[in-house]
Amino acid sequence: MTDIREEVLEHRPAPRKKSALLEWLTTTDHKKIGIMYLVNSFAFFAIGGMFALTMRTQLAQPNNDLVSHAVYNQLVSVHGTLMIFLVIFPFLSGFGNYFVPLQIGALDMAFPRINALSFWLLPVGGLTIVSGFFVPGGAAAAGWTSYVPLSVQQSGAGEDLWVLGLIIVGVSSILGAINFIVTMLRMRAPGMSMLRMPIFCWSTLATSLLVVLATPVLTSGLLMLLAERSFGTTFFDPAKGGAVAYWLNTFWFFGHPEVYMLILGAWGIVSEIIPVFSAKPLYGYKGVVVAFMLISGLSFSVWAHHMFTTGLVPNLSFFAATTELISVPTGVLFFNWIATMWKGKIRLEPPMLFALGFVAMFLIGGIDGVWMAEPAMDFAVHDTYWVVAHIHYVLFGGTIFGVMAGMYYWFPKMFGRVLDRKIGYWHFGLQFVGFNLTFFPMHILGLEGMPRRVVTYSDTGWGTVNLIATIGAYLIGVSIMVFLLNVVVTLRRPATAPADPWGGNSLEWATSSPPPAHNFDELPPIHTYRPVFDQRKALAASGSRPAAEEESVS
Amino acid sequence: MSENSATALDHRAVQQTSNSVLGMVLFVISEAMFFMGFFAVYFSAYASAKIWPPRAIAIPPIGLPTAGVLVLLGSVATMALASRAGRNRDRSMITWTAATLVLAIVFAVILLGSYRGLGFHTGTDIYGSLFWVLSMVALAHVIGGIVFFVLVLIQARAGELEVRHDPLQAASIYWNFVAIIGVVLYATFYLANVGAS
Amino acid sequence: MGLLVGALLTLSSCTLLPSDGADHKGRLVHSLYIKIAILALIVFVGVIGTLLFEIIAFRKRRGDDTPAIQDHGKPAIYAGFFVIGLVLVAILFPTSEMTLSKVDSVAKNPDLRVTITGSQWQWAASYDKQGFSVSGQSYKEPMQWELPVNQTVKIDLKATDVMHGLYLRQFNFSMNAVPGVTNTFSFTPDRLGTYPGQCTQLCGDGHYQMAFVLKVVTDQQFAKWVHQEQSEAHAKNCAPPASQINLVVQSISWNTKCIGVPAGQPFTVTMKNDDQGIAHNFSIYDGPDTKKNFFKGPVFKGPATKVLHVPALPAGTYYFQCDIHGQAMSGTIIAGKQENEPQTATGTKFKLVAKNVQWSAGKIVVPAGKPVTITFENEDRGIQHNFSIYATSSLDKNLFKGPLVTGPGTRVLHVPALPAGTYYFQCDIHGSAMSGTYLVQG
Ligand code: HEA
Ligand code: HEA
Ligand code: CUA
Ligand SMILES: [Cu+2]
Repeated sequence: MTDIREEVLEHRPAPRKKSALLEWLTTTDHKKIGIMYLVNSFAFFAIGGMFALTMRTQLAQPNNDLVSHAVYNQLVSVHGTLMIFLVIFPFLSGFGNYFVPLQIGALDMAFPRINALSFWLLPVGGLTIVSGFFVPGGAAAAGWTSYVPLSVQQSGAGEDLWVLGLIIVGVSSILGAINFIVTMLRMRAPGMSMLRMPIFCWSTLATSLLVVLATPVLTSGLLMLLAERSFGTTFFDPAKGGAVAYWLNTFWFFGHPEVYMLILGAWGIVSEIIPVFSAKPLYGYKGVVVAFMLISGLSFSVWAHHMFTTGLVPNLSFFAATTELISVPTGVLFFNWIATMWKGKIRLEPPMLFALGFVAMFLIGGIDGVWMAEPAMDFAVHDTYWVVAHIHYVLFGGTIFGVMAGMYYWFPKMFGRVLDRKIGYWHFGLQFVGFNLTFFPMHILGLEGMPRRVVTYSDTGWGTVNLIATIGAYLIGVSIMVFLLNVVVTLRRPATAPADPWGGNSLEWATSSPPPAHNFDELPPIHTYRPVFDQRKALAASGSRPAAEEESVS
Repeated sequence: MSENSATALDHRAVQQTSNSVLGMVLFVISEAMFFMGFFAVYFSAYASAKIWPPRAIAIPPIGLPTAGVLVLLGSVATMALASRAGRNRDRSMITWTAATLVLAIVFAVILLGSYRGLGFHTGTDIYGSLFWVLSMVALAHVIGGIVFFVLVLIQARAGELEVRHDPLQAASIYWNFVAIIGVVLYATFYLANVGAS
Repeated sequence: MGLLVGALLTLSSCTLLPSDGADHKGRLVHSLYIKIAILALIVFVGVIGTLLFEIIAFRKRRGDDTPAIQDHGKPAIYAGFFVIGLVLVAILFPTSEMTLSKVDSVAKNPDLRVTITGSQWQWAASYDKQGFSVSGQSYKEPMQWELPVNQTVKIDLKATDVMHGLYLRQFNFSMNAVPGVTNTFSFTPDRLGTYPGQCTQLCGDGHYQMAFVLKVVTDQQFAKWVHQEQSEAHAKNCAPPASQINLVVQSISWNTKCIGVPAGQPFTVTMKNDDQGIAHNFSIYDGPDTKKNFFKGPVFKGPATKVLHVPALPAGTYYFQCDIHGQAMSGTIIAGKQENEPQTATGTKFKLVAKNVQWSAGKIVVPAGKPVTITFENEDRGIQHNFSIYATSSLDKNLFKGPLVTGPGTRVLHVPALPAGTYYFQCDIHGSAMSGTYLVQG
């Protein structure tokens, strides 16, 4: 509330501007922090995306020499690391920060100051990783998976900066996750039982549980790697009792839950949007909650599917089975989305388009995964471009499409303006075409045997396919520009968005757009998991605005 | 759906604990997973080694660490007393917290002392690596605890803990966790070697 | 949107398949891929088809303001959704297990064993029983190796430095080379052909070039290749030419695999047969197919010794064997002067060039007790090299360490005086792959 008072008291423009900046830098308001998360993600998305475009330009032709092999390895490694740890995950945390408190009718997160700390650790960690490019020897170049002994062997401080940066980012996400869990367990408005929480909250809860349980294991591995490089330990040295397997198992024990941390939030967003734009409740709300929990639980038992070809997995069949089983609850989500749309009144607004794009693209990525889940099949495609195709279909086709759906859906709430619809359609079209043009051909490259993480190739048979992918990548770049254009154009318009522009279900639509600093002037009564829908229905039935207080206690 | 009873239940369940205590419990869980990473490596290395500790490792003397663990257990006791005093809004809570702080510092000093004259270093073998890295990490946690206690004492002196005792409760949860880690490390790196060589 | 995917699918349907397999296991994987593809297509078309149908059939029509049916879903139905997936897994899992059990099994009695070692950034294949190995050269040429068709080969896979990935694309198979671990697998190539392969596991700068070429050939071609490689291998560690040679036979094998003799000069062989009651002889041919005979010694039982006088052989490589035991008891004869002496650099002032990750001289000879000035020239664009001297090749004592130079670049190095002795030099970045002998003469 301080900012409102300040605005009233101080009318001189110059100092106010300054204090506004300071206000952002020192804020503990979950909404401002949420927006900063999103801005941070976009900044790193631009960096990671530029790296990707450089890589794609290098790969457009066989025997190209735009960048050297040393630089290329750094680009791939930092591209993967940034996209995963500083783009996708913080995007979802950003939405979580902004909307979880709103959706459960809370004033703020449970620990606002820790919340600010978790945010600020992020750019610090991210820039630590990126700063590797400016030290002798360059940035980390052992891939985002940083396999030992290559990562131990690499000289120069780049790899150390990578390790330090990731430890910082890890601490940030652990603190953030604890904050989310406590917020959801303890700060819900009266009437908001656990099973009335919007599905996005459930996805954030599941994500946070995964973070609390899995991320510290990565931290332990990173600490070993750091010690191995700096203090001469022998964790990974087979000559002295160590083993390469220790890193692989620690990394992937974290790594697989990690990929679900990267997708659960997007599932949550899509599960919010599809019901709203179908004018129906989410089909099988409880089924979705159970699916989330099953997936989170199972995700701790599948990690060795990344190690099928290493010969270090004692029982391939076990991990094949768990990996296949995890597709079952994932499939349930798909069926629930489909059932939600059945006999609905479907409006293809931009958020819905992106959500449907998500469903289609993630479906492809998931099915790619099912191929690799069979060890015999994985032997044929491991570490080829098939895996690169899978990664991007689930992470870009999945999460980025989901994030974009969330952007269009929640932008009016955050900024009081609905993003331009026409530009939105253009954005979707370009991104959809560009995305498929870039990453679908990578399936072919993978089956043709193009290994991943190569700076160039001499097989001219791969040239055309690679060129198509490169053109697609630039098209993605254009589509992201179109999105930014949309943001700029929209922000210049007057803030006229109503409290509930879409006909929403959850509590964030019960307050003004954007919400006041204290979030709610009044809360509607909460009897189901769709309080805003109930209120709208009651309103339509009575034809007048019901007094919220009268109904709130029941 | 029995909506109302669900709500009531939720509220009863969460009323017991404060945000910071719940937060600390979650933090300790994540800390436990952090140490799990190291112990998983320890037990894999143990399982695949023929001789454990490996021949290259000179088994460290057990005397000083035993004293250390006793001090640590003492600090757990004083912590428990402080915690009880805190619940009863008793001023002796400050004394007990201070006592815990002192014991924690003594333990940290003993831990540092037990590095002296060690017959192996980080690179001798994975055993040496685990020993050094784990004990250093444990030391960092003890120092964290010391800082924590100082903060709690400052709050207590300011009279803040008269109204809410959750900082003390959180400190207690944290310190009990550190103590468990200390005892487990003592057991794996010292007790387990008794009789070996 | 499905349209685009569909277009892409049809456009590329011809290439959206893995290799059809150059061995039985590869074909199993190929058919597994197709089985999964059929399931995948059913799921994909089912999901996308329904979505498209819904978008069209259930779109909100203009002016339609009636609410949709508020169906929250029946637990029985959405529990049933789990069953759909479980059924699919129940089909998928046994199918893939059947393939896995065959693909993953390692032959107990292989016809051939090869040890493959990955190191930065080249492969080496060692045919231990045949007594030779082949390897590639970083940045220069891929390893060439051959396997006989229709014979089961068992591979032991190792790594010396970091992890590598041995990828046999046409066999639909890959396996990692992991330091400290020996991975094994076996396969039976049954299609003649040339199969290029590449390292799939990121292993540093040269990862993209860590390739190999596998040739699957007929038995005869394979035997020929083996002999050729053997003689080359022997040439490398063959004794220097001598006109008086001692041969010993024990347990049906020669005491040496290679004999060096002077070209154009007769020589004598003292053959000692230690095998009690077993007959052996000594014969010289042009190759293992024994088309042309140059010398045939008498057959005699052990224990006994015979002196054989062999007429002059023109310079070249020959094959010797015991005619009774054939290839199992054979070796190589090299007639002529050995030419494997590495390039030598000498003096107190000379130039040393690093090019294509190789030194211009494999041997450096300098006088004892005198400092040496070396003009070190790195011609490898973008690659770092340095020049270091160690007491031995196990790098136990560093005697000189030159600075890293990124190519192209030149540095003048002042190497301090060293006592007489044989030392070892290398580039610290590329290690033994780029090393030589530093000889200080008194
Ligand atoms: C958002 C991130 C994300 C998600 C959600 C997934 C989801 C899945 N992933 Fe993926 N994966 C990655 C990110 C992700 N992955 C990354 C980054 C890597 C590479 C790491 C690296 O090496 O760099 C990787 C690598 C990877 C590998 C290792 C490949 C290799 O290195 O050789 C495997 C192997 O099993 C795999 C499998 C799966 C499976 C089975 C799923 C499943 O969860 C998918 C489930 C979804 C569906 C199946 C579709 C919908 C289901 C239905 C419509 C129901 C009917 C279908 C069935 C029951 C079959 N993934
Ligand atoms: C979320 C995850 C994510 C995302 C979104 C992306 C996005 C992209 N990725 Fe990435 N990728 C990974 C995760 C991701 N990637 C991972 C984990 C790996 C494995 C790494 C490893 O092997 O270790 C990988 C590897 C990888 C490879 C394989 C490299 C190799 O193995 O050799 C390639 C190759 O084409 C590639 C390409 C691309 C491209 C073209 C995009 C494009 O979609 C990028 C599009 C984005 C832009 C073009 C930016 C545009 C932004 C602006 C223009 C705005 C500028 C404005 C501001 C000022 C704000 N990626
Ligand atoms: Cu070896 Cu890549
Ligand atoms: Cu995984």
